[in-house]
Formats: sequence, structure tokens, C-alpha cells
Amino acid sequence: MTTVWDLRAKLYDLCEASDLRRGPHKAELFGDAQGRVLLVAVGTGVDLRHFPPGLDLAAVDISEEMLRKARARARLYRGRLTLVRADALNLCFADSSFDTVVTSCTMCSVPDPLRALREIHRVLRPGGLLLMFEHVRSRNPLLGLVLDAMTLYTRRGGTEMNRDTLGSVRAAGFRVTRVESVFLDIILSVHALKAAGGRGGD
Amino acid sequence: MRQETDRARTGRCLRASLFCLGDCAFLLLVGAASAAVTHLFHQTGWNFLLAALAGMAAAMLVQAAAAFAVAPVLGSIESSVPSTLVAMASPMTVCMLGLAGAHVGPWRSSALGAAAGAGVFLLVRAYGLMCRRALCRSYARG
Repeated sequence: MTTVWDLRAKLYDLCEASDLRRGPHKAELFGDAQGRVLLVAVGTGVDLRHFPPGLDLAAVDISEEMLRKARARARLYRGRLTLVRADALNLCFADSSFDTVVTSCTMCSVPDPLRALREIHRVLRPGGLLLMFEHVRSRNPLLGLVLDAMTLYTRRGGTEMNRDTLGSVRAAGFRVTRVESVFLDIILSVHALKAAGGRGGD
Repeated sequence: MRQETDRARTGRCLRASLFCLGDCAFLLLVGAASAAVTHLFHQTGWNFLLAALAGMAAAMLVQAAAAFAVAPVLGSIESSVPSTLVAMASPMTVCMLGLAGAHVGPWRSSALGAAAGAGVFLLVRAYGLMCRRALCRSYARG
């Protein structure tokens, strides 16, 4: 798994970041982050510029090569930022240690999204905010089929195009409070909350 | 909720319009190119089914290469998903006309492909509007 992402780090910014188009949507979403923030799967750090300054930010990634590229961008962030090598399925942080968790095109790439979301649920404090910029399978049958077909070859590079991420968010115990369309019903900007008393999906 | 200034709103509208134009031009181009490629295969004198299958496969390759090329500007998913639909619809139009016995030249094939691209662009825009409205209804901003 690590090797795939180490290889992809070389072309990540050119082929996949799509920051020109998605950047303003990410900035709007990440602008809601507050307190101690965890960014799961920082990649090459292209998203760091969209975070408001002054946060206490921890950013993790499974790939050392991605983190190496992210370090240069991390220096430009005007706030406290720590880069940590960690697996989204096994986060090396204490329970309830973050006020906000952010993911950006992460759930398409982790082997078990439900397990990753349960880990996020664990490290998020009760009442904490989950902000997700993710692409999912379309509910439109034709577009859904196109995404299924694309997954046949994108899967080789570690990306699943046809996941029901919103279903996994709810199954992990979050309450989805806001979903906005970035591109059709495929790229979504999601706000979800961990119930103040612990578990509790909608 | 953060207030949006007039300047920011104008900038956002301008960006949206430019991306809309870019998407439209890209889908027209993919439609025309994939139809032209399919037309070329029908001119080889091969068996109809073989020419149709080879033409459609070549059209998909053209689409994949074009989507890869524009991904840094238009977005990877934003360019590849609609253009895959175009690369399916456009060669099929050429093949159906060939099957019906209609002789269509290369320029007319490309024009038909571009029309298929325009059709997919309009459908995608309409579906995008439906999605935004549906999500607004389901998750009203609190």
C-alpha cells in the first residue's frame, strides 16, 4: 500500500490535485475548521494553503514520499503544523483528542473506509466536527455505471471511484448536517458531527 | 456564516462561467475527435462489427488521453466522467448511421460527434442543477 502511494506522489500534483477548480470549494469547507485539527491523508500538502491561519494542525499520511513533498508546503503554513506518518486505519492519537477532523479525497483510497471513519470517530471529541471533501458513486444509474467502469482501472492505482462514503459516515456514528455539491452528486463537501454524548448517527 | 463581498461573488461567477465554457469546449472536442476516429475505422473496409468495436476502443483511448491532458485545469473527475459518456455516445451515432446505410463523410461525422458532446454537456449541466437543488432541500444550512 505504501509503495503505491510513494510512486503516485511523483505525479500527484500534476494529475490528481485539480486544485485550480476545487481549491475555492476546499477553502470554503476547511474555513470551518477550528481548535485542534487533524487532516487525514495530507498527500503532497496541496490542501494546506486552504486552511485558515492560526490553527493547531496535525496532518498524517501513510506515504513517506508524500510527507517529504508536504514538508516544503508545511513551512508556508501560518500556524502550528505537525506532519506525522500514520495509517488512517490505525491513528496514533488518543481518544477525543481533536476538535475537527478533515479529509480530502481520502475515503476513495483507504482499504476499509468504515474502519477509517471509526478511527476518526474515536479521535474526535464528542460534539466535534468532521469536514470531508470526497468523491463518491453517483446515484444516477448511468453515471454510477461510468464510475464502476472507471474503478476497474483506477483500483490498480489505489483509488475506488464508486464508494458510498455518506453511508459509511453514518454507519460510523456521525450525524451528517450538511452536504453540498461540488460536481454533480459525485464530488461532495460534507459537514458531519460526532454526537455530544458519544455515538449517534442520524 | 461568512458574508460574501460583491467582488468575491463576481470572481466566483466569472470562474464558474470560464469552467462552464471550458467543459463545453472540451466535450465538443472529445465528441468530434471520437466520432472522427470511429469514422476512420469504418473506412478501413473491415467487417462492420470489427470496425465498430475497434473504432469505439480507439475513441475511448482518445477520450482518456484528452481527459488526462486537461485534468490539471478542468479537474480529473470533472473532465473524465462526462467525456466517457461522450466517447460512448459519439461513436455509437456514427456506427448506427453506418448500419442504417447512410454514408457520412469525415466532417459530418465530426459535427455529429460534436453535437453528441453538446448534448451530454447540457444533460450534465441539468443534472448538476438538480443535484444542487436536491442537496439544498435535504440539508438546509443551519
